[in-house]
Amino acid sequence: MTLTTFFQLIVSGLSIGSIYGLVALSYNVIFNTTNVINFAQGELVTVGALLGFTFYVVFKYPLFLALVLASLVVSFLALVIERVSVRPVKDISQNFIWIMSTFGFGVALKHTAMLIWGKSPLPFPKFIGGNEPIPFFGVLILPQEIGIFFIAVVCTVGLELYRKKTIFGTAVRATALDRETASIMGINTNYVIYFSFAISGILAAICGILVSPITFADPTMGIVLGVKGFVVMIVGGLGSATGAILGGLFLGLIETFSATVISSLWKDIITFLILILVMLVKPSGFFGKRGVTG
Amino acid sequence: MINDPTKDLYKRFTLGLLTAYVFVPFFIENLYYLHLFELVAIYIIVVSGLNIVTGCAGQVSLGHAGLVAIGAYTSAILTVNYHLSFWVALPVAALFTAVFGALLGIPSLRVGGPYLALITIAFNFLIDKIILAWPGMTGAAAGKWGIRLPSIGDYQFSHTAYYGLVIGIALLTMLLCKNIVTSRWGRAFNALRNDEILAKTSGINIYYAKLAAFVISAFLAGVGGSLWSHLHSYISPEAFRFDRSVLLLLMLLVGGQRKILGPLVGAVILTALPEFLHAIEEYRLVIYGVALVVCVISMPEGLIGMIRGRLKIVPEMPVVPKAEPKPEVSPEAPADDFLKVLGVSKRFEGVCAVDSVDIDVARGSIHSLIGPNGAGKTTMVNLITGVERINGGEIRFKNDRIDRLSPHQITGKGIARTFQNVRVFKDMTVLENVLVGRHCRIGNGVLAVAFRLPKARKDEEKAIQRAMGLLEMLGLAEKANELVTNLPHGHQHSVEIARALMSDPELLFLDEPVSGLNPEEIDRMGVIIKDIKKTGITIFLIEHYVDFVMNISDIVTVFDFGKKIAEGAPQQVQDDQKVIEAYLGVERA
Amino acid sequence: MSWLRVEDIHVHYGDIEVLADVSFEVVQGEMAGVIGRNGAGKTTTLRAICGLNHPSRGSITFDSKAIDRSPPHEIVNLGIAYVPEGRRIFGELTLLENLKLGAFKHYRRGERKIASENLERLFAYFPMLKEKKAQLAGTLSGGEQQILAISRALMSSPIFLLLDEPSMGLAPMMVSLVFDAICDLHRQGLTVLIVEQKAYLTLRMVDRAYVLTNGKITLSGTGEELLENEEVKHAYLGQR
Repeated sequence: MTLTTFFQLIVSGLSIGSIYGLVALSYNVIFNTTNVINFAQGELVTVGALLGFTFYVVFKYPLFLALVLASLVVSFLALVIERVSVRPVKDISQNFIWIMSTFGFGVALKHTAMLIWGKSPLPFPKFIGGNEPIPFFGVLILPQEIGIFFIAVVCTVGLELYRKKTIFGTAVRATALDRETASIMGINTNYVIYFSFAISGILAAICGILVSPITFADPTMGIVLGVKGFVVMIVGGLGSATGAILGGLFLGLIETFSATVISSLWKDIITFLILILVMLVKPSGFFGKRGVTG
Repeated sequence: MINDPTKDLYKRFTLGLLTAYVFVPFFIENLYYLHLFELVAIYIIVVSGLNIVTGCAGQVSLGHAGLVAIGAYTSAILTVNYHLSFWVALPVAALFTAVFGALLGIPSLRVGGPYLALITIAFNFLIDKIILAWPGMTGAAAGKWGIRLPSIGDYQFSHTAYYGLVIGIALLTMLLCKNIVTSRWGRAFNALRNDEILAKTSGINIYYAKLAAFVISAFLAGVGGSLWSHLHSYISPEAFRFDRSVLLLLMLLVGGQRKILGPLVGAVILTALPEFLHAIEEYRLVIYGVALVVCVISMPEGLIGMIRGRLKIVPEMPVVPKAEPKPEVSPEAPADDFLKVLGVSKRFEGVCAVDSVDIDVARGSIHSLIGPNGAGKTTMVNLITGVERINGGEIRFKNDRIDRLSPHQITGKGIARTFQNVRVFKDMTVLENVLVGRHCRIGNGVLAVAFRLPKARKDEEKAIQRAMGLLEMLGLAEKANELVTNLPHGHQHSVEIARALMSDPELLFLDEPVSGLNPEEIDRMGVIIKDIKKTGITIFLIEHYVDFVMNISDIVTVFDFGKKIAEGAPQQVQDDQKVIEAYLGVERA
Repeated sequence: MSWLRVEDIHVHYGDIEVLADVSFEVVQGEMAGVIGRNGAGKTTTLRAICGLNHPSRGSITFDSKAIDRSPPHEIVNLGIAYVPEGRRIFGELTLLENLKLGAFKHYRRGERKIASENLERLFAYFPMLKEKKAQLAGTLSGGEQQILAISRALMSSPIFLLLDEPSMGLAPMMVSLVFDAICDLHRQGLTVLIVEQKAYLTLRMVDRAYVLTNGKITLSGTGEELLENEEVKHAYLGQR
């Protein structure tokens, strides 16, 4: 492998890894405040991508408007999930119920999307730079890929700043730690939860639109993205934003390299084997604090 | 009983329907419809297995189709590539799949809930990718051709004959599953789904139970997979992808988890429905998704559960011959060493919950532990019963060190306990709750109970007799088949005690046995505890209701800030100034 | 003027009745106490007042407003602050973040200045808070956590403070420190309802007290009256 190829793979790996990291982040946002893992998260990303297609490619709205509209719809869907699949569950520790209800919602969402948009991937133009890769010290890099990386970092940093530096972010962290005590601080914990779901929806829409130029807006992308995002969340550590991004980048790099060096088929096998290994060896991930048993 | 005629009618109706369902297809000539019946029978087998691992044991298997794929491809490869006979391929495929079930079960020992669910999804994908990566064996995406219906000698099975085989296996499966579910294994699965810690302290080795559940379900998935292969002469990886796993789960939920007929009802509805709803074929999976949500949130008992609920069908009263006399613990010579807690400490995040404590519990006594809130009393009991690990010191029971053992091992050694704020298996009846306590004293394996071997049957009968005897002593015999959560709080305490007694303990820990009880119930509990003492069992009691403790105890130990501050006869302790200060504070400033 | 009025409340956890027919009042400006042994229902009483457990029967009114159905965050807004049993500080947040959360009500209303003033006042009163403000709250000692928990509650400028077993798990010296601070605050005009296991300590401090046994109020009187009353000891350690 030449050095050029090596760097190109690094860039690709970082870029797809950023997407995985963002998906993991969107899981974390909900998990942190409700202890629920939303099994429909991948489908939210899919719908974000498909809506992006409709608004940006079909209606030809400016990108920013398309992003905003897609985010609004996906946030709304996330809130529906909260209302329909999560809130009715009285005892969160009975995890079978919310696993199946979020999972079922995801299935319904995916197939509804397929009814509306069809089953084939929809072509999505690159909106960061053009189709031509730009030479950078002899390495050809697609601006879209770099763009994904930067936007992902911006989102993560933005979210972390919000959580750590503002009083509202602190209120969210408090709700995640101890919901009852948060409520006696005067925090309306129900709003905190709605807010978390909405943010998760926005992140999903951003993911969907960011990744579509690379993978096309594919109605079947949800499950795989959802699983990989989940893997990253675990490898990086539950509830940790740093872990999510780093874990995502790590997975992205491994995937890209194994796809090239071994084969495209084996890349998925390796990913899943890594997941199973991490779960068995260090279930709390590399940056996480929470346990995953039970 | 009032619902007897209804129940009879229900039984006859179900039996009639079942018979018709089983025998009608023998007369069907149309291959398309016959095929549907064969398919349903296969689903019954697979979903019955899913019922055990997910429905009973609560281990969510979102990728079950992966297991079916293993069975299907193994059987296909053995018959097509290696020309083995179907009759060899089927069991081999089932066993091979069972091994994968065990592999899948291993993560469940470390992680649970959504993480396990994720692993099962990943598993489903992994199997798919492996099939695609191995064209030589599996035909990869193109699929595998040439799989044939079984034959005996020169006679090759017709589809009708195959239906007979498949439905026969399905009925056998339902029967075996029913036997498993109503045995100590079924109770163990339900217990670990309800409350793992409680299951452990009741004497169940939950790691072993989880693995058993996975292996059973995988075996059945393997059987189903093999039958699937030979039903179709061609298999491809598409048949075993995620959508199929979703369908299996839906069948389980719609029919009713933990109900024997659940898989059948689910399989019939979800196979028949698409036939009638050709027009909305496109919407099928959307409907499935919505159905999953609706079922799990509003109809958790499934259709069978709803019907039984409507008709108020309750499980049958167990037939109990004369009550056996309560077994007495053989009064051994009073040993010097019964329970010895030696210098035990426990720290939680820098706070010392228990600080170098020594306690000596004499055999045959009632020993109480009191102290203000937060003094470390429950922690002490958790340490002795293995629910928490000690940080220093030793705990010895009859001269054996027990501080490194797991809870179910400690229960096996003869120590049982109840919990503060009553902890019972919420989904189970009173009798089932009590019977769980006997799990560690009966040794029958899964196969023994599945086939209802004579020893297994006898052990179960004796256990039920024992349980009913205990329930009678506690005045709860009539409520044996009631859901334990329907009982008032005070009675639930008694159920917990009965469950603890079933493991033949020599030492019984009671954590706040009278909390939340009214004065009469408190008196009754005092009598019960004294009766238990008479059978030779040593009792260790934590209580806040000091009147009660003083009346009943031989020795009282007082804790404050994790340290022992006083110990002695009740009167002694009541007058001890240190104790008064611990509770009330210093009298004069 | 009775300010907080609890009338005939029954509170259940599941189907266990923890409080039955409990009635008492707290007058503005007084320090009242509820004592009793563990499991008597003391914490449940405070939780019912601050909205964490709603009574199944009966009513709770504060300043003539019914609060027995209100969610906790609304009750905080009325000026009631609750210091929970076991302190329940946010261990993974810093001391300063914990304090700021206490003032959430003010931040939400855009009253940053009031929050800052409260903070400064608390720093002056408890210098320890200022020293350790960047420390993770979970690393503080029991006594320090209790000071933090009380300060956190005070950040919302409450007019009525509910204290749940402030002495629990504290060494005697810390207990004195904490109780001195509470008395001081009371002298400055704060109405306090304190729930405690350490009966004598409490009875010396409060104006009026109620003894809770098995979910019912069995004795009441002024602090002095109950100090003389032998029945109090029996409520804890049983009859001889």
